[in-house]
Amino acid sequence: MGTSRPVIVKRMPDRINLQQSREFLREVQPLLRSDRPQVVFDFSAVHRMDAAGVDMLLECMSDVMKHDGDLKLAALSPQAGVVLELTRADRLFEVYDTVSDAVRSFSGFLPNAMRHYAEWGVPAAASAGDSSSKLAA
Amino acid sequence: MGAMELAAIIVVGARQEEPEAAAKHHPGSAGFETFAGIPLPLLDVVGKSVAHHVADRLRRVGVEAVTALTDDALYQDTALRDGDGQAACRRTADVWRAAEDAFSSYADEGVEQVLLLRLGPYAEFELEDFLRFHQEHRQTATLLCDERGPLDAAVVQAARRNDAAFLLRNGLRATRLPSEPYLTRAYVNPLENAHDLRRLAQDALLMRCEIRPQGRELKPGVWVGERARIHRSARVLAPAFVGAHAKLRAASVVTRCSVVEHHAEVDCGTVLEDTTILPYTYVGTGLDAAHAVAGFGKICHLRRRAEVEIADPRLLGTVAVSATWRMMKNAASLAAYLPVQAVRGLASAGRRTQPAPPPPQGDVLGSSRQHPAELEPSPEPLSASNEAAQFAGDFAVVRRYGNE
Repeated sequence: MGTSRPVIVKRMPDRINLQQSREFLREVQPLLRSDRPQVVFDFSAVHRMDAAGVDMLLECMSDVMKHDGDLKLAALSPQAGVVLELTRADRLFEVYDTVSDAVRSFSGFLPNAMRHYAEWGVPAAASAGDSSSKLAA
Repeated sequence: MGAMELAAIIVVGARQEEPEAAAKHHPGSAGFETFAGIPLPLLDVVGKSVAHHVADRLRRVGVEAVTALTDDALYQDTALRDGDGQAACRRTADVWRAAEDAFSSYADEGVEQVLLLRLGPYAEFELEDFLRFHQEHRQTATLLCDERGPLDAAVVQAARRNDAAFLLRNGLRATRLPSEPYLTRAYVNPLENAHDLRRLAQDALLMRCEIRPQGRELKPGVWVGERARIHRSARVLAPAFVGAHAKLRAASVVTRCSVVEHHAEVDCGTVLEDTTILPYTYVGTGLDAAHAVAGFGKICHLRRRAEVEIADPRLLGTVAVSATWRMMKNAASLAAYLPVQAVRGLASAGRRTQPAPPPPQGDVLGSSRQHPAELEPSPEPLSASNEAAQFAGDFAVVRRYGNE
């Protein structure tokens, strides 16, 4: 099942502190407040991030949810990954290794879940078949 | 007083090998044998620096005099002081030159053999066996090795100053005359990166090595240092270590071989799992540190193999080393906190005194219908402010996945 709505990829600045967060939020808020926005934040260039950056991400998430959209994170740099994990914010977002994975995920059905199946060594097709057969039963 | 038989010289840091080659073997680790620019042997492991643990161990097994030396450039007060305020090493401009001088001094004092160690690697070799091997083989100098290679340690006859000088100039990895190395099968930790430091702390807590936590064992597997303050709602799950003067605030959790070193502070609600918090480190509120070594403004995530500088003091900060300064800061924060609480108390008291409108009798459904209106999103957008109050504990996120 696909989607025809555009996916917006936004590259994050290399430093996400209070000032940068405000500027960035001002920049992206019109996008986040469009109808059912599909947004990917590219974190590959982020070298420094603090708590204000995490606040800003939560605010973006809040905005996107209010408009029935989705916000995903991609290509987390080690710095951003550590800060997000430290602040437990990583659990609130879908995180992808690459931007293209994140973009593709908008047009697929539960792509992360399927990826986890693959990581656990369960063939994705088999597991999908099982669930469909259970549903049919 | 008779002449000493055995003395030891410990050189901390100062690896003579090319760091590029070492970095190749440890991608992602910012510093080889260092963390935040401090040599790993000077960092604390369950209450004392590794250098201190080694010196204590040598004294226990009969070494009569121990000299520990470190490079001037590597010396940092906070790293070197242990929980009891002792300095671990003597600083010097040229550590290898200073080691040669120390060797000469011991030789002049009539010491028979000198044990030379570079930390670096931490090895719990059998000293008696090592000395017996050295004597049986009638060597002027004997290197200590394990199956992976040299452990940067050697024993030298004190009369053989040239052999000692050669050894020291080669980073304790080569002898002037051909000799058979002593192979140890004891516990060895290469202490090359933060991962090894963490493993040493785990091994100490799990009794896999001779290092013992410096504190009282409150319950099986939980050691607490002197004057550590643990809030009654904080949880410390074995095995774990809380160092002297450390503070665990309300609802914090320390679990899975986590270590909170002396004078460190863990703020409310923070969870430490398989983590070492280095001395004088403040860990902020409501955080989740797992598989990490944190301190001196840096955090090393062991699974991601990334050492990250955290500039935000609300996440990771430094506790003042001076007790007076700490007390002043605490007094200042209390002075700032009390008026805010007083105002909040007054405001909530004011709200409480307002009589609440009684719900209409029998209209239970009507009153419950009003609650969702309170949960409606506010029409005003949230500003990107730095205040955590915007995302307080009652902030909840509901996700929709895919096309669900």
